Amino acid sequence: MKTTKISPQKVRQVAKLARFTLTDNEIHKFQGQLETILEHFETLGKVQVEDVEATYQTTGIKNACRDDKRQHCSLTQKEALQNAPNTQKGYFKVKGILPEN
Amino acid sequence: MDIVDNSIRETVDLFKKRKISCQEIVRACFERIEKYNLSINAYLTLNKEQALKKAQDVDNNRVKGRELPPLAGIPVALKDIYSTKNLRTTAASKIIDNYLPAYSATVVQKLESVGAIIMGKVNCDAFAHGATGENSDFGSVKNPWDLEYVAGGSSGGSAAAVAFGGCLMAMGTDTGGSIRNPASYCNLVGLKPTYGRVSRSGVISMGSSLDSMGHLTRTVEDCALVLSVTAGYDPLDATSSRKPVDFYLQDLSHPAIKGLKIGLPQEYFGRELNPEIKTLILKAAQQFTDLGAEVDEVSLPNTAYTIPVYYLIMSSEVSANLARFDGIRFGHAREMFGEEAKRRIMLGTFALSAGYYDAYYLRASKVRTLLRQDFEKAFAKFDALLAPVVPIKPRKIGEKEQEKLKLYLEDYVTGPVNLAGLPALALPCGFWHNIPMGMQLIGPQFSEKKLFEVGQAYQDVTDWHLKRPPLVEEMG
Repeated sequence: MKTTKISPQKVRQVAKLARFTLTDNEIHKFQGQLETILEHFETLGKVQVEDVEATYQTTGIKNACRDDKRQHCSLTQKEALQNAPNTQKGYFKVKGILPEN
Repeated sequence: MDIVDNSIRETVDLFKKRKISCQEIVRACFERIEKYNLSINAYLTLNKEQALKKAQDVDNNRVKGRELPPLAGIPVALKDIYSTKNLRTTAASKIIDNYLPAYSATVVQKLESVGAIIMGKVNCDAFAHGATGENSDFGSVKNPWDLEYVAGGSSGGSAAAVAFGGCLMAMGTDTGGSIRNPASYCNLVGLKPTYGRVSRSGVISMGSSLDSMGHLTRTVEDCALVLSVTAGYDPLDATSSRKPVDFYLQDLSHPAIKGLKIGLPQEYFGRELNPEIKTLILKAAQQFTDLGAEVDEVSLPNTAYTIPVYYLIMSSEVSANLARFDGIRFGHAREMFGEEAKRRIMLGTFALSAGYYDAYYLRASKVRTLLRQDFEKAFAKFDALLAPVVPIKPRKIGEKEQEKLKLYLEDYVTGPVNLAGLPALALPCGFWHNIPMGMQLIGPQFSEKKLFEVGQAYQDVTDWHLKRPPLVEEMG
């Protein structure tokens, strides 16, 4: 009996956020798998973490900024585009992203 | 056995004595590749023409009597998630099967600048997602020790390529055990360096707070030599450390481990650990005692939370990193992601989504702190920890493919190291039937030099690392 429930709507919403077009079969499959995985994660709910700070970085580096000076440019425009599948006038040529009307 | 089965150190000596040329060894490696790659599936892309040309350059410089850099003429394989300028880089995923990077990763540039010969790009679990080398979109990697077994993962192609003599060292990446696991499976030394010790720039990211750039070699000494090349601050990676790089090779001729305190984390030796593997690790512990180290039990009480913490943080970071694969400039549409990548992206997107963030990602990041503190407490009393790498009996290809979550659970002995940003050195310590088995030495952050000394002391009195796969031995 699975205690963590995820609705198919939630799976669809997550898929949309992740930019996936999933079939009904895949939605169903991921629903089951995510429920099973999350069920195993429920043990975390029992840990006392009220006064614990979160860890996002382990070696203590904070705000690594370089000097605000112009840097050596690593790639020229030509180099950046050298292996692009499609270019036009020095730019990447990509498919339209706005619907035509 | 042949010239390609030597260590880097032995090969450099042979070069110096003019017993062999660089072109000879590079050709010999390509012969091995021709002979075994079809069945083992380690190399995905070869760099043959360039490699032979570079080898010729190295030989010409030697003839002219020029001082050669430390890895001059050494054949190297790169896991296919290291970007290589104008050499196909796929992450073993079909979504970028036609991608030619415009630049090389910092590590690749460093290796080339000291004369290493890039032989080609090697297979792995796609986007480094897996612990068996079976999740590749280009087919499973087979174990050169027994083709029915996996080579480990995710850096399985890296391990297999070294094991069958297709190169003398290989770069891998370790996010939750992906270097140590295949090193164990293929009888190699594998280093997961401290987080930030080696630049991540130009390597396709998996979990940005976890990823470590390491390598696989045949000996501890070779491993130390390679880290002396790859380690160091990189302005292109803001998370790389400015701490000075140690002289890793300095004390390897007389490793001092007398009185060294080695801890055995009891949570790693529980019921989940295969009893035969446990025996092998405890035997190694006894050998360290015999060498003068003080070995004792230690507790890492939050170990049980490793898997949920690791999988929540890793998959959250995966979902963010793989968002850039949109097929707009390079590669194909997102539907081309393999099943494992999709699953991790879905899990991570869920864990970061509104209403679930606090309960999953934030909570996991807090428990991560507790896991780190476990190690801090242990290292107050111990210099290093000794642990298994592969806790269950080695897997055959295709075995239990359906039990994905069970595979996840095996990371409990390797994942904590990444969550805490620690270095760990995996090295051979025996065999499970005919399959090699490794152990790992875990140290405090930036203690690689000490780990090499401990590993060297062990290899000075054992010969596991000198054994080669039967298919290589049989070559006479």
